[in-house]
Amino acid sequence: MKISALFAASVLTVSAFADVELPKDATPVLAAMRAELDHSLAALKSQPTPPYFLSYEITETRRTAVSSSFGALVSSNESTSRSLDIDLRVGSPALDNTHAIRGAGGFGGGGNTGGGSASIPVEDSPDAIRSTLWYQTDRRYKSAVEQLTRVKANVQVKVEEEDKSADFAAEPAQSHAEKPVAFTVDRRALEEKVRRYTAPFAAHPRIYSATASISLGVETRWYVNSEGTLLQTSQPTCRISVNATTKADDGMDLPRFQTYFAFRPEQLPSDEAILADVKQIIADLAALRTAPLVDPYTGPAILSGRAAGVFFHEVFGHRIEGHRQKRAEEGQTFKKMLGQKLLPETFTVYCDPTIPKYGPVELGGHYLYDNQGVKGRRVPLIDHGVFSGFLMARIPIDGFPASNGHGRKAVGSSVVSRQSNLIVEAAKPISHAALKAELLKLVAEQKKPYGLLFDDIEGGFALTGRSQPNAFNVQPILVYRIYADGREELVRGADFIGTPLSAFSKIVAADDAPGVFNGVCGAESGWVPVSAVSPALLLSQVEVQKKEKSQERLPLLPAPGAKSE
Amino acid sequence: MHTIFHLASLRRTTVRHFAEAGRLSHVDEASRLVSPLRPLLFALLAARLVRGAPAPKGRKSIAQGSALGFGSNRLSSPERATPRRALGIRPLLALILASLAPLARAATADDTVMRAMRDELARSMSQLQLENLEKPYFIAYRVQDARSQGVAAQLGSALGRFDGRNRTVAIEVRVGSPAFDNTNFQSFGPGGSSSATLALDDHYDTLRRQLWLATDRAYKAAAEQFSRKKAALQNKTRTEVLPDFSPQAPVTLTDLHPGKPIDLDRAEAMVRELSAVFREPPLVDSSIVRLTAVEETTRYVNSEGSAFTRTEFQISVVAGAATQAPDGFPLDDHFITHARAWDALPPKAELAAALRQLTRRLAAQRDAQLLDQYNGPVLLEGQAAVEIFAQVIAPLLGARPRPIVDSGGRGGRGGFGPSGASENPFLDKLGARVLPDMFTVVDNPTLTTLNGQPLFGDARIDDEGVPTRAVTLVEKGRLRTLLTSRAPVRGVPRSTGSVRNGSVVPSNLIVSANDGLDAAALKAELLKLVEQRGKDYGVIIRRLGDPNLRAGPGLSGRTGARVEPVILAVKVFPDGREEPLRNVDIAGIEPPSFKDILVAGREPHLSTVPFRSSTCSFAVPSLLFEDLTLKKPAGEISRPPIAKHPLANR
Repeated sequence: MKISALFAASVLTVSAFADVELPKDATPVLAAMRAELDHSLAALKSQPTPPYFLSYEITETRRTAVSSSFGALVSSNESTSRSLDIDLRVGSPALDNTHAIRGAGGFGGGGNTGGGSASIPVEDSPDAIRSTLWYQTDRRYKSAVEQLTRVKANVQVKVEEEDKSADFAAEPAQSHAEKPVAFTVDRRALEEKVRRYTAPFAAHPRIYSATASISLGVETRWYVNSEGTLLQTSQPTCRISVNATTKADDGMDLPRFQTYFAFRPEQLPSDEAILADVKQIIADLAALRTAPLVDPYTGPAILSGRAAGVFFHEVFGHRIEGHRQKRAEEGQTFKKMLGQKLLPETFTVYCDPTIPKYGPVELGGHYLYDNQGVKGRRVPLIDHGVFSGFLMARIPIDGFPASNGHGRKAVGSSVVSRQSNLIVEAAKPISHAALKAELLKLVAEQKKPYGLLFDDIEGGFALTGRSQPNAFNVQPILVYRIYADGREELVRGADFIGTPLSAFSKIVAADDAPGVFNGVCGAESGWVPVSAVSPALLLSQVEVQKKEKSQERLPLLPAPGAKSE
Repeated sequence: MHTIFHLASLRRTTVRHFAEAGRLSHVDEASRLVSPLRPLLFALLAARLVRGAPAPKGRKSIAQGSALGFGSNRLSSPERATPRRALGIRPLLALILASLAPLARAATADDTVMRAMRDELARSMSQLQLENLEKPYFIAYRVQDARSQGVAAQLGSALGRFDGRNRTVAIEVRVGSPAFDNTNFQSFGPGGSSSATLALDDHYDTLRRQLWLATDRAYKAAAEQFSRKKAALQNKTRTEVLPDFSPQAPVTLTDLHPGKPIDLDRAEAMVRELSAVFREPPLVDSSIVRLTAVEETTRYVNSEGSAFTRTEFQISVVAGAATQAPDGFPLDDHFITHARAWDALPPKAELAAALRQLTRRLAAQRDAQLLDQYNGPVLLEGQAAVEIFAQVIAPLLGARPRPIVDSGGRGGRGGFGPSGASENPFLDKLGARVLPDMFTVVDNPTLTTLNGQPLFGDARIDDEGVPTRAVTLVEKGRLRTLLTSRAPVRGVPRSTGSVRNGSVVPSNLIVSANDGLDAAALKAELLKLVEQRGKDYGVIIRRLGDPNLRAGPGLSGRTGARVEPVILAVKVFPDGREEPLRNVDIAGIEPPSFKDILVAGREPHLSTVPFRSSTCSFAVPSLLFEDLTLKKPAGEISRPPIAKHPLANR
């Protein structure tokens, strides 16, 4: 499998800061960033190629993470760090140093590759912060000037670009400061907790790995740009995961896991609830080990809410990220389909980073401002079945000149447009039982022996480029055959595959119990937290292939201390 | 490719998918979290190997040659804590006890971890076998506990801290016989060694379970590797046949030099204060001060009956600063010091004075002259002599056999070419002259001090369970032997006990010379040569860069230099006057160049630096080379900063 270039990734005036008020609750970090931005810009203005835009983003991560295996502690760490990201642009918004260089091939094709981040003091000392900002700005400025020369040459020697939109979109100044969140963590208590979560696995010799982790932390971000934006946000996040695997006699690895997300530690589920899930994982693994192998299959299937969320994230979400519509190497599946019907008209799909919760469940893809100082907002993507828009960063495309607050990245990467909370809603949902009845109706119509239910998935991936099949793959963990009499049979070894447009055309109904998948999403701008929410979906036809299987046989000796020894 | 995953499945799945594309990208939550601290972690890793001092509480016992089986009692000192046999058998009890155990509890010779290692090793040796394939003839477990702490600061402000522990096991499984086994073979696919992360808790059941699975993987890989190696040699005749594994009498040893965890608040306060030195004029462009403390406990058991427990502790303080000359040439310099206890660190005032000296030295470099080209006598003094020896000669003093390369079933040359690694040229020099007659080189891991100064390369036993000893490598300029592992090389059939963190490395490498001169006499000797050769001046190099301690971005595209750039050098005129030089590269220096050393210093200069992934102490006298080529470095120079330093007008 060839993986595409993962990294192929009005004139603004530099405003004077003198008249900009710092927002209330701003810490000295924000003031130091503003001061150095003024100082560096003033000096660089006199250069033959002055910057037309400069932004600083400092991300502070305070985190405590512990993990265990079979009841014993495996790791326990605490860390605090701050990283600096700089976006410095020379040239003009129409053509600047971030413009994609065509024909560079491989990972170099993305133009602006970010240039990485730098460590910056964790204490609010203006002098030390300013010194790092100054030093890094100078380095970034020099590489931006060099890159602009390369961009200009590339534009000269290549054919005219299909999408003639500018490289950068202006945005109004924003001002907002939240008090940095503080919470204290009792690490010893966390270590005890995490040991408890994996202790029950120790009694099961055929479970070959069992780990649990708890990670509690706060991410505080300060953002300043030459348009006058001043932001300070602080977001706590807590995650717990429990993960165990077994192996079938034929060597197939069979994983099972649960994850839990909340903004505050007190909102995480109780130990009792987690231990009940652990018990379920152990039972599922035992059942999976002896479950029959799936055969290649085409026919009707139900995707559970969480599985459907991941399906939409891969099949649709990644393909409507704005910047992909202008890169020559991208498949651009949906580019010319605006206003066309993609789904039954009962379906509405949108991305909304402004909502912290969906029903009672908290959403990891929530934020107030994106990584380019733009306020997050709800973006309608499919309105009553009709395709209505793209997710935009400050990277204009034909017909979409402005950002809609989806410019995101991990520390050290360059921003591209990314998903936030992707939400799929159906206007006329039916009950889960009714959905199953519909499935069986289709099974009968298509004269299939059974239908499939994808109950849980581990994740998926999508290929959006042109140089490989424009396909997706969703990796299910729990898959059931549903026979005409309603009987359910667990099977193993299924991968759900397909191409986006044909899969979309097969969606026929949804249930009334939305599922939420809180995960992290990886693409050219790094790993960012996202959520996907969807009701369970009935598809009139899916395609299932056999999963790639480990060729490693079972351990030669029984587990130490096991009865057979 | 775009992906979404549960955090829990992130590591496994991403590695698999990215690996398919030949791009092994290892992304997991932990590594993303610590990535901003990477420089700090690098420093921690650089200081990974720590040698303990003979602390008063150090308990040592050694019994060589007594073949002791698994689970039997071994010699140990009487004050050793009695291991609790019951601990860990009941997981619950172990859990409670483990949670009460202090972080820095010293390893005892036969604790729960050791017992789990012995028990699983014994079971694996007696029962592990794939049908129709060979059983292992040798298994070794090396379990390493590391407690790493670190702080860093710049310009009086903390940059972050790190405090963590981990426990890993390296498993060695050998199939075949010592004469011919699965090792010394290079091919795609896993070999006979495997590593795994283990539980931090001394939890017998969990540790056995983790060892069991890792051993299973290592054995399967070793058995497969052995078959592939036999296949690769089927149609070939080897020009040189050496055994794969040298014999070693069983050894048991306990060598504990634990250190107290440092108080991170106190350490942070210290680096904060030290880094504030760089706020004083003259200002340089960037600077950093780091302090790391690493305690490493290694437990080792092998199927020959060897076992040891070794605890080492080391603190290091590293500072670096960088700036640019007015023409843009990069300049950087560093400071490094090591200690085996917090109280053994130099006093803060002394450290601050050293950093002030560093910043003044660096700022003064901005005004030094450039040297276009120079061919003639060069005196390397002190630290520069240590660095040039460590960078050019020391890497050749350790040898591993050249592996047999898998031809991948295609016959002829395999995917790696004739060999992945070229052979050490010193293998052909055994018995021959490699240095002038006056030189003797000894690797001496038994020393803890030299001329009253501490050494940091000492160890009683190496990572393969081989007791260490002093080895004379060069005598009267002749190469007598090389440092080796248990993999024999031509001319060196036995291990010298020199394996640390997977590499063959020196411990305390001591170079001495007969008829050495003092500094003034050396300078006079240099000027005599200058006169003889009819040159206007000679050159003294006083500081040389270290590959692991670079503080600045350096020159992009610098090529053709075998050693790091010079940090401090001067022109010396016949009247003894000195003029500072900057940005000097030593061009074309090769190991044979050392045969042209005319005279050396009387006292060696002692310096402890990272070497491969270990810490080694080097003692080398000043060296007067008859003829070296010096020139300004070639490469692209970045212009000096455009805006003024924000602190410049204070």
